[in-house]
Amino acid sequence: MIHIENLSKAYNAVKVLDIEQLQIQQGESFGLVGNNGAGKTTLFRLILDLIKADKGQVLSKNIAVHADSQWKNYTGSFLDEGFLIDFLKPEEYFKFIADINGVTKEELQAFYNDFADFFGDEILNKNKYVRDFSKGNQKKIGIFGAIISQPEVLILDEPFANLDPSSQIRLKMLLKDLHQKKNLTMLISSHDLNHIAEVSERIVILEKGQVVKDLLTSNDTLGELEGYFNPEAAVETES
Amino acid sequence: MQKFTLLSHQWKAATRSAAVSKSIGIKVFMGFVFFILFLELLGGGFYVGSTLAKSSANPIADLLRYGLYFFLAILLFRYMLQKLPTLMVKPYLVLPIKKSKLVNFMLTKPLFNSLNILPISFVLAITLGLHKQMDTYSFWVIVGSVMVGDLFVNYLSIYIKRVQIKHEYVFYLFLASVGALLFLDQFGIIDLQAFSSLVFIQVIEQPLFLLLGLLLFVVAYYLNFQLLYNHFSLEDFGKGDTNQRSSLENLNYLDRFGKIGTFALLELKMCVRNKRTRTMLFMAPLFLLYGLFFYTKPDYHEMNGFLIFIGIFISGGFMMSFGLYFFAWESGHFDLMLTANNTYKDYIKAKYYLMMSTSTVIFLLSTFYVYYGIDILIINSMCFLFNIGINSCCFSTLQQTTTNTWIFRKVQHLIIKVLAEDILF
Repeated sequence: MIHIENLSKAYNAVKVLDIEQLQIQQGESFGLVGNNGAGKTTLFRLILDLIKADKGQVLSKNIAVHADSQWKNYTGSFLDEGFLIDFLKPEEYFKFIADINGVTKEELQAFYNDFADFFGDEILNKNKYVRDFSKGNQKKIGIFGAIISQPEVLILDEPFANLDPSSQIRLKMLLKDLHQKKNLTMLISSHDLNHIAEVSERIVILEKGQVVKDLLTSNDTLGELEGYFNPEAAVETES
Repeated sequence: MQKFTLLSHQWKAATRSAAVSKSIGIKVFMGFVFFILFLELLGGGFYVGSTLAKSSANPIADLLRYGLYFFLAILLFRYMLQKLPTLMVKPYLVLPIKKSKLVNFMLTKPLFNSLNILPISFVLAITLGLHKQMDTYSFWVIVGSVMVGDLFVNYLSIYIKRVQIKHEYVFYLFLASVGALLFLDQFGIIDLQAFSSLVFIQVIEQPLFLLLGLLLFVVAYYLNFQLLYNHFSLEDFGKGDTNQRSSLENLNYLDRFGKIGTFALLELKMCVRNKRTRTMLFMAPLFLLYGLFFYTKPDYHEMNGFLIFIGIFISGGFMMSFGLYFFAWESGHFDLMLTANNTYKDYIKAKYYLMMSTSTVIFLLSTFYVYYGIDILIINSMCFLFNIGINSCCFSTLQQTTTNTWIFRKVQHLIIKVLAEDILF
């Protein structure tokens, strides 16, 4: 589905991303972890053609993303507030996204009903602009906006950050559900190793812009991840 | 010590801001423009002074008659041009720095504004032109009154601007009262000139009255201080109250125009729901009144170039003030637009149609200027065509929007392509 070839990006001669080869299959649920500055967001921005690669390319369905914007038809994404329109109310924002994606009123309403749980009662009919919501609620609005168009590929940058515990759990269920029912290809980054191990089938660790580990999730994955990010602790538990 | 730390932070903020990293060429150009303006002001002042010296029997008394107009002009000029001095206070609020120290620091900033030299140099140029008629004593009194008056005006304009953040109506109230004052003066209901000479002759006779001016300044400073001191909590720096007006909620009429309608609606909501854009929108009809100032005076009818200038402003004023920030307004949700479903063309078209329809409405309203001659109508029509065809493209591509120049180039390229292919031909 998404094919990354020889991709590299540098800022002021410092390489922030350098990936030789990475394939993400259709229907794969792909998790990305790495410390701050590892290049997670840069990778997502490159996949979404928001920044220009110095070298190499990203292919989506075998078409280079920078050459043709076909991918916009089937990709939903939410990275940060840059994807929100702050002076709209949430309902207006959703309607706007629905309109430009050709989603009808009825479909949108059905969607609301499906996700009523995820929103709780804090988002809809609040008569508040997006900019006046808390960070966590803004994130919920953005994530919902990303899936309105029923995409085949979903890209979320740290979706669990800023969410309250109940919403985190609901989001995990929602993502798993979407993945199973719709065969959605998901690319998700997170700092929470528990969450990412739970929702992803495959986890890639980035460090200084390079892929250092590529794991298929199993029962030991969480331990392996924790071991990677905190080597001393891992040694202690083993001995 | 703390004061110096704050100062050094200000210096860093200024030198490291995005505007400073403009290319050297632009900086040189801006410096040049400022210099030319400065020279023109000096020349203008000298000209005023020397003509007064020649044509008037008592030039100083005549000069004093215009004192109030001078200060009123500075007030408007400062009000429009000067930015509110803001220290990015948020990070300092939790640090152990005295609140009054921060407030005082914020309030000393306007003293170091580069605009400050303009009024005083203008007056110095006038006195230079009048040097034969003026004794040293009145020279110093005039210089003193300008400095004291300018200080007061400076803090007054800042105060009005600051109140205006919370209470938007103050802006319109201020403009309306200045307008009313000038109107009453124009039609002789009140006599500003007489009042002005009354005030300033008193000052010349008894320079201690300058202390009264100084007192006015202290009052203005104190008002500023009080306002800032009492509104120094975080929420006062926020977006204001969240009590929303449901503006444009049900404008579903635009839906029938498909995606372009959707985008146009988005654009309209943006205009109405953000403060700066809202001001621009409300000011747009004012451009229409531009003609009244000039067409009423027969002298201008001979100056075709000037009429074209006015024509462009009448139908294109809004387009220029708004279109200059064509994409800057959107920088907040730019990423969304770029990744959204393949509709960038429609998005740009929607913006274009919106600007064009505003222009068209204003142009249609402006046809009543035919009263002042058929020439004016013809010139205005030509200017209107120029605006919707050429001007709209130019202005929208002038302003660099995101820090990401690559996206910018891409967008710029697209705008020109879209406008050229789909709309103009």
